[in-house]
Amino acid sequence: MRKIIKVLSFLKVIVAVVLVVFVVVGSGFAQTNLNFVYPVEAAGRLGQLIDGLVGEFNQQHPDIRVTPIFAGGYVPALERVQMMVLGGNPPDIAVVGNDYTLMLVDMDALLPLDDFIAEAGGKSFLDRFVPALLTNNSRVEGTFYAMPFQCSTAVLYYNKDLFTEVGLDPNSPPETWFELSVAAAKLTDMEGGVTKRYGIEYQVSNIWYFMALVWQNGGELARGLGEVTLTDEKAIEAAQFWSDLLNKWKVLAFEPKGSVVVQDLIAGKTAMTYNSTGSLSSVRDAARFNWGTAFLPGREKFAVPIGGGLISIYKDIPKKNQEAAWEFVKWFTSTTEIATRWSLGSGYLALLEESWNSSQMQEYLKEFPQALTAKNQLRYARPQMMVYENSQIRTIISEALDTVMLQKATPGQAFEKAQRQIDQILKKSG
Amino acid sequence: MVKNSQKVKRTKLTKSVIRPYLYLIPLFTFLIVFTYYPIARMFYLSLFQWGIGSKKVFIGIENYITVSTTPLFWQVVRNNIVFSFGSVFISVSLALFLAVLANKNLKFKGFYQSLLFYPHIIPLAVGALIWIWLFNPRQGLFNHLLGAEVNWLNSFELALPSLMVVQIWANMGYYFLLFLAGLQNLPASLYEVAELDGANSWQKFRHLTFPLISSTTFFVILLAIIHSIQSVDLVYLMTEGGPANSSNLIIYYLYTEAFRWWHLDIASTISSILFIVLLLLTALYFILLERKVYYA
Repeated sequence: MRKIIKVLSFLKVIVAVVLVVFVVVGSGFAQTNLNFVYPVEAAGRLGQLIDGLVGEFNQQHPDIRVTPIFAGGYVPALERVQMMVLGGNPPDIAVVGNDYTLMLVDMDALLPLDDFIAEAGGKSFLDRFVPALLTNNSRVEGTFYAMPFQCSTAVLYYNKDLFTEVGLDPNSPPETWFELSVAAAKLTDMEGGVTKRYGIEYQVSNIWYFMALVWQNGGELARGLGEVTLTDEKAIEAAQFWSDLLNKWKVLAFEPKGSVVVQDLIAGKTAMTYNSTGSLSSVRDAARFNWGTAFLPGREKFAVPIGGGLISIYKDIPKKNQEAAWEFVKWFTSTTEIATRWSLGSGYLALLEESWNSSQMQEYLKEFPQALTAKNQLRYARPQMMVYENSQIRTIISEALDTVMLQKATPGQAFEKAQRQIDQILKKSG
Repeated sequence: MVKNSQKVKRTKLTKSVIRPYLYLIPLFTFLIVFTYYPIARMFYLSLFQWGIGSKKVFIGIENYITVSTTPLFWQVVRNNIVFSFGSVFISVSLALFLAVLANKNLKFKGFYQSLLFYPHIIPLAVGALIWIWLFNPRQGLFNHLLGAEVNWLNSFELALPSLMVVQIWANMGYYFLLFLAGLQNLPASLYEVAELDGANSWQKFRHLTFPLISSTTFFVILLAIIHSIQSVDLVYLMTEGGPANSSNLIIYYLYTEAFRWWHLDIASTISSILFIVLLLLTALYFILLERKVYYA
């Protein structure tokens, strides 16, 4: 009798194990599991939004299961992706900063998307996107390796109340470098040798802003993928202008890393700032004054680089993962309703023309006209500089800018030295 | 019968010989997988040219030549030497001074001790953010008190000293606690004798305390040197090595080469150099000081 009970209970265990195995294996067969590296903390507003949208995708696609991996920002996300690729276990999908495409293509990590795009309708598919955002470093030598995902540009934020206080017209923000320096001088408030308030502040070491200046001045920072032209006279002039704002006219708050630029504006310590459209909602939520946005002031022309992240599919993953991954990318970026909700929720620029024309967007812009500036400025927007060894070259340029700003060298000297370093690096990598 | 007992003896012997190693296996597995193997691999990789998109090519010691002719490498080495000397000297002597004070029979002694140790418990990431605000040129406390507008973290001259202040703040409490533990082990009788002989506080410190706790001092200094060379979080969070590398330290530079620029060959080379230097430094330190240190 006892023996029988023993046998029975043993059988029970076997049956249970078999069932569990069936369930696990069965669901594994039915579903394609994809991981999706996303550059933000899981707990934040953006992380929750992504989590929700991914959940919705999974619900609509029972055969695909996307799992987000949250990496705390563009740099950690790139680190994560590189480690995964080098370890032979690449992610299926990842969003990384839009100046890393070349590096990842150089590593042979990204899947070309041209066939998928052709299948989705080719030109008629691409035509639905806002042109400036579509060509935002998503191609290398004509081939699409990424799709736009989250795009932003820099705009001029300004405190309208302070404009009124010092006698400037709050409805006509500066449009040229000259007007900018005049306004900044008026807005700067000195008391007993200490500056109580600065006219303007922005992240000087971030060459995202410097690029804009060089272009506004009619210059270029790079030619093709393998040449940097830092000693361009227009670039030197742009650096001189920044140095003058800081050292000659003393109207620029020097915060090269930019960690508190938005806080300073909100606290009234500065009157104007260059910042990403990504900060629109935090300024709206915290500012206790009337504020506006405007194009970055130009010189020969208006110009601004596009920042943010692109979404890519990785090469060394199974074919069915690649297909499922494209399904996700397509769903997220080109389903009008989803793309619109993503833009409204995140504050990033809407990718599709249809989104901009949607009634939800129109309503949003009516309530929040500051957000419209970025859309209008897109006419003057360009992809950021992208060359080989991009990351190191950006570091070198920003160091040269630090040196100029702190008057350890003239722009000409600093840029010539940086140019020599850059040429050496590009020669080695080429 | 005799044979049997021999057998028992032998198995006992093998057991007692083998057993400790068996216990060590789990630990060693971890050490080998996560420490020794990576170290060996790092030395191996430093002999190759290995860019992000290229295949590995054996180039011998060429990477070492490249590193030693990079001005930035020498700049961060210089920065790190200044940073180490300053922060080790100040934090260790301050910790010793405060530990001697706190070792007296004071009221609220426990309170002082926990206050001094407290900074060490705060995660450095949080601490660094607080200091960033204190150093902020426009909204920060320091400039408010000074009535000036010093750009602490963004100046060529002040960025590195500012980092040193934070390093000292963050680690001093820990050294303080180590000293305190050392001081509390000292025999009270010696001090009674010294007092009978009319020794003043300085004499007691100079001729009793300092020699008696030399083993602790030795350990703390070694620890502080290692901390100061390992320091990367402060640089990462507070200055990113700037302005223009004036506050860049060796580990942050290593991190930049590896994970910002993806020069894995150069990064392996720098870590290999760092590994050898630290090993030599530690060995030298032990050899020089071992003999002069008093172990209770």
